[in-house]
Amino acid sequence: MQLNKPDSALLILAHGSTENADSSAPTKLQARSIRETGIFGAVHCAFWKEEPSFRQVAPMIEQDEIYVVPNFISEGYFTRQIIPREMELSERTSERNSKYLHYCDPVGIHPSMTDLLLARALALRPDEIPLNDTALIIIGHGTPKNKSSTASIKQQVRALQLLDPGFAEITNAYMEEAPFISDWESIVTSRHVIALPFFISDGLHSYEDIPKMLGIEKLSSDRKNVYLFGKRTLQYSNAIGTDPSMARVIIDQVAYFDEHYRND
Amino acid sequence: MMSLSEKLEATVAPDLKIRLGQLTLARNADGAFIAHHKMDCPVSGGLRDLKSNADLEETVKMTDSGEYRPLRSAPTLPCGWVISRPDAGAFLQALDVIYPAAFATWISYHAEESTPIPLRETLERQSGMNEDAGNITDQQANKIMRDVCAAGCLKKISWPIDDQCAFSRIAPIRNRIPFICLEACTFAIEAAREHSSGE
Repeated sequence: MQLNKPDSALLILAHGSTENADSSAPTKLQARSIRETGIFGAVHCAFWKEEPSFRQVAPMIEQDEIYVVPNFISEGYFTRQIIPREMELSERTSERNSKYLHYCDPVGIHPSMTDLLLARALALRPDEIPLNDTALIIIGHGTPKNKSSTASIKQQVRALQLLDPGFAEITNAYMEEAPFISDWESIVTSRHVIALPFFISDGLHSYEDIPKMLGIEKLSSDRKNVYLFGKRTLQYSNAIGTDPSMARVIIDQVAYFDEHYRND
Repeated sequence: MMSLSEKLEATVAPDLKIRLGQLTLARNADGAFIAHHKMDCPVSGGLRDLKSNADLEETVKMTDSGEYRPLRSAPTLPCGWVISRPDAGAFLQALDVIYPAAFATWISYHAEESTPIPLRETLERQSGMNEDAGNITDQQANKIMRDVCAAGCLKKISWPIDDQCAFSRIAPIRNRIPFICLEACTFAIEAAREHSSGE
């Protein structure tokens, strides 16, 4: 069913950066794209490290009903601690200054992310490369400090495996915990490999750190290059969060809230 | 009740020049809303006419010398551009690209719908790497307000250091939209962490 919420505002929350000028660009692009659909009465963004901050955004929003969607990959420190604290959210729906804030799940755990990951991977693969000799590696940050930080990636990998779109292998790899990205040549055995970073924006990690770990010496700006490692090929995508279709996932997360969490 | 757009339209009335930070806001002969750097003169021409907010975003996020401006209220707004928007709603969206939330914050503060948050309350709420930011002394807090806030930001602080400090409200100023800070931002918090940990 087509969503239509002219009396509600959409508020997209993202990390942002005080150092990387492009960090917030995908979120702002998606906000503009959703604004153009006219689904919501207003569409705003707020950031942890940029302006408007999570604390500054409230006076900008005139609608009494606000859907808050974290543009984050996984459930964790930001979605469970920082955002509820900074936005003063105590329940799924919280009342604040006579406004109702509906706190949606982060985009990264929505089921439609699976379709988006698959579409991105298939679009990246040149026709001449056989799918049944291609491995898809979904790449995340990971940290030994938090066992749940990789949960959403593992969930997406499982969902992709169940879909069985024809890849020889579908697996995950991380920057800071096993299986490590730098071991990709032994993690998968297929001749062709597509590495897809499960990040919201193209920051230092997806633009510098991960290519280095993969052994890519010079990253092409359009990410269409096929890198050769002996007889094997490797392709490396932009962060999934930069895909224009992420706007659809944000809208889907609002619909999911109405379907699963609203009780009025 | 007037909407924010209607309040902006009333504030930027025809024949007025309104100052907001480093911006001059005005109306042109057609009634359209225009904004440009206060050092620029749109009448003399030569300014880039930024028609889309995407282009505006790309312009104002960098300084004239090409450095990233994570703090939009820093006194480093680039020159050489002008925006013109046909109505107050579109103009408000554009202003929020240049100075996010600035107009709404002033309206909310002036109507006493938003309350300034004392610095200590902000710092004591922090967690993770900023968890100890609240350990700074009043002397260090004053140094942050001087060296980080006053030196690097055009906003006027409306918050006290703690809830025991007296702090007068910021009054409206003729032909200006007061550019106010309701709560210490990420830069002040990071500075507090650095002072607290001796970084």
